[in-house]
Amino acid sequence: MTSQAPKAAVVLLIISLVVSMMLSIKIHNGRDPVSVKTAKGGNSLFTAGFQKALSHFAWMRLIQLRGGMDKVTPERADILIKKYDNLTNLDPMFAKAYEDGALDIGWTKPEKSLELLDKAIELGQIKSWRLPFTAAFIAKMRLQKDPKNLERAIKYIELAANAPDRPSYVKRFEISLKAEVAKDETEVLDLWVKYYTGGSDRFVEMGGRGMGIGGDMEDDGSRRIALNRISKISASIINAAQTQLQGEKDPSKRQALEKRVSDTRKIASQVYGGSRICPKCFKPYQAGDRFCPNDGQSVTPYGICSKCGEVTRGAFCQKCSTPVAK
Amino acid sequence: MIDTADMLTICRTTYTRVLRTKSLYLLLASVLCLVGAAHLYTDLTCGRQKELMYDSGAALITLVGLLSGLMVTFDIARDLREKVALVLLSKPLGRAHYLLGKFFGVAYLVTINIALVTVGIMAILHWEFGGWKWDFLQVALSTWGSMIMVTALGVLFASFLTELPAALLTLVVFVLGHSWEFLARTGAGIGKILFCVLPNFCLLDFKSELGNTIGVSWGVVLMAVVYALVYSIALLSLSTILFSKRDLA
Repeated sequence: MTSQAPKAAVVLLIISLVVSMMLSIKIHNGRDPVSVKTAKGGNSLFTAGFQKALSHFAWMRLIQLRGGMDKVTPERADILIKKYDNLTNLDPMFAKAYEDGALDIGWTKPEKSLELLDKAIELGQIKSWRLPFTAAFIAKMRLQKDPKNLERAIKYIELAANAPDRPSYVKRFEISLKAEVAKDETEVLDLWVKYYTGGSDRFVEMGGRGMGIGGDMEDDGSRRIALNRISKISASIINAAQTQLQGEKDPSKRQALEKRVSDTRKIASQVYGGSRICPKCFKPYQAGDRFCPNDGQSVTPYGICSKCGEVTRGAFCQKCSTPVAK
Repeated sequence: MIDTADMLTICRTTYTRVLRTKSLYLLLASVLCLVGAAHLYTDLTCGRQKELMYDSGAALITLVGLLSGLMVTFDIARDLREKVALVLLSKPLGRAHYLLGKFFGVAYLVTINIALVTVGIMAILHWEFGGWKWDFLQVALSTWGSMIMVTALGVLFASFLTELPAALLTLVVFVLGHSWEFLARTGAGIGKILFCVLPNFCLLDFKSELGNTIGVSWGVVLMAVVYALVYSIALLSLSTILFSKRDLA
C-alpha cells in the first residue's frame, strides 16, 4: 500500500461526506413532512423500516385477541387501547384500525376512543369521512349530554360532512346536531332548506321534481326526509306564530309575526316547486284533492275543469279542452 | 492508480463463491412463496391481503438485501482469519483493490438478489392486483441503495473487526440508521449535523409512504439512491484508510 492511496482516500472521504450531507438535506426537504411523519410513526424507533409489514402482524394478532373477547369490559378496553395505539404508531395511515378501535372501545371508554380518532384526524392524511363521523357519533351518543360535548360532536361532523364521498346521512346527522344548538326553529328550517337545495337554487328551478342529481340529494330517501322535515318545521313555526298572533296587541310584534308566517309559507311553497300545500301540515296535495291526503285537513281544490268537472294536471281539460287554472 | 483487472478478479471470485451456496436459492424461493401465500390471508387480515402482500414484499426485499450485504463482513473476516488475504496482498495488489473487489463482488450479489426477488414479487403483485404496481420499483430501487450502503458499512467494520462484531455492528447501525429522523426535528444544530453525517437509512425508506399510496416522486427516490452511492464512497474511503493501517500479520 502506498502512502498516496490513503491521501487520495482522505480527499475522497471529505468530498463524498460533504456531497452526501448536501444530498441528505435536499432529500429531507424534498419529502412531504406529513408523509415522513406518517412513514416514521410514533414510537417505531427500532423497527428498521419494517414498521409497515409489522403493522400487518400486529393487526392479525389484534383480530385474534378481539375475537376471543365476548364482551369489552373496562379492563379489556384498556388492553385494546394499548394495542390499537401501538398498531397505529406502526402504521399511522391504518384507517380501519382507527375506526374499528374507536367502535370497540367507544362503548366503555368514549374519551379514549375519541383520543384514538383525534390521532388520525390530526394527521390530516386520511381523507375518509368515516373517522370524523364515528367521532361525532361517539361524542353525541356516549359522552355526557352537555353543550361542550355537543360542540365537539358538531366539530367532528362538520369534518365528515365536508369529506369527499360521504353518504347523505352524514349531512343529515350534521343538521340534526346543529338543530340541537340552534336558537329557534327558523334557523333549523334554514338548515334543512339549505340541505335540500344542496347549496343552490335548483329546487326553485326544478320545482322540487327530479332532484337527486348530485348535491346533497343523493337518493329519493334523502329528498323525502328533507321535505318531511321542512313541512313539519314550517307547520310548527306557523302554528306557533299564529297562536302568538291571537294574543299579541303590539303592532310591531304583530307585523314581525305575520312576516314570519308569510316567509315560512313562501319557503315551504318554494320547496315544493310552487305546488299547492296543505295549510296545516305543509305537505303538497294533488289536483282534485278536497282534503289533504296527509292529515285530512280541508284544502282549496285546484285543477278541476269549471265546465265538465274533470280533474286534470295540465293547463287544459283532457275531456273538453277548457283552460283550467292551476 | 487502481488496477481494475485485479479488483475485478477478486470481485468475480467473491460472488461466484457466494452464488455456489445452494441455500441462497432456497431463500429466494421461500421469499416468493411467502409473498404469494399472503393471498390466503383474506380472513386473517379482514380483507387486507393485498396490502399485506405489498408490504411483506417490500420487507422481504430488505431482508434479502440485508442478508446478502452482511455476507461481506463474514467474507473479509474469513479471508483474514484463514490468511487468504495475506497471500493475496503479498502479490502486487493494493489493500484498496482488495477491499473494493470484495465490495463490488457482494454489491453485485446484492443487485442480482434484489432484482430476482423484485421481478418475482412484481409478477405476484400483478396477479393479485390485476395490473403492474410500478411504484414497487421505487421500493426496490431505494432498498437497493440502502443495501449498497449496508455492504459498504460491512466492509468498513470488517476492515478492523472480526466476523461477528463486524456483522452485529453493521446490523446495529442499520437499525439505528432508520431512527435518525428525530435528529432532523430537533431544533439544535448538533442534531442536524448528526442527521447529515451519520449513515441515514431513513432517507432511503419509502416503504410506508408507498405502502399507504401516498406516492413519492421519482426525483426524490433517485436522489436518495445517489446519496446512498456517495455515502458508500465515503465509507469505502474510510475503510481503505483504516485497512491500510491494520497489521495483518
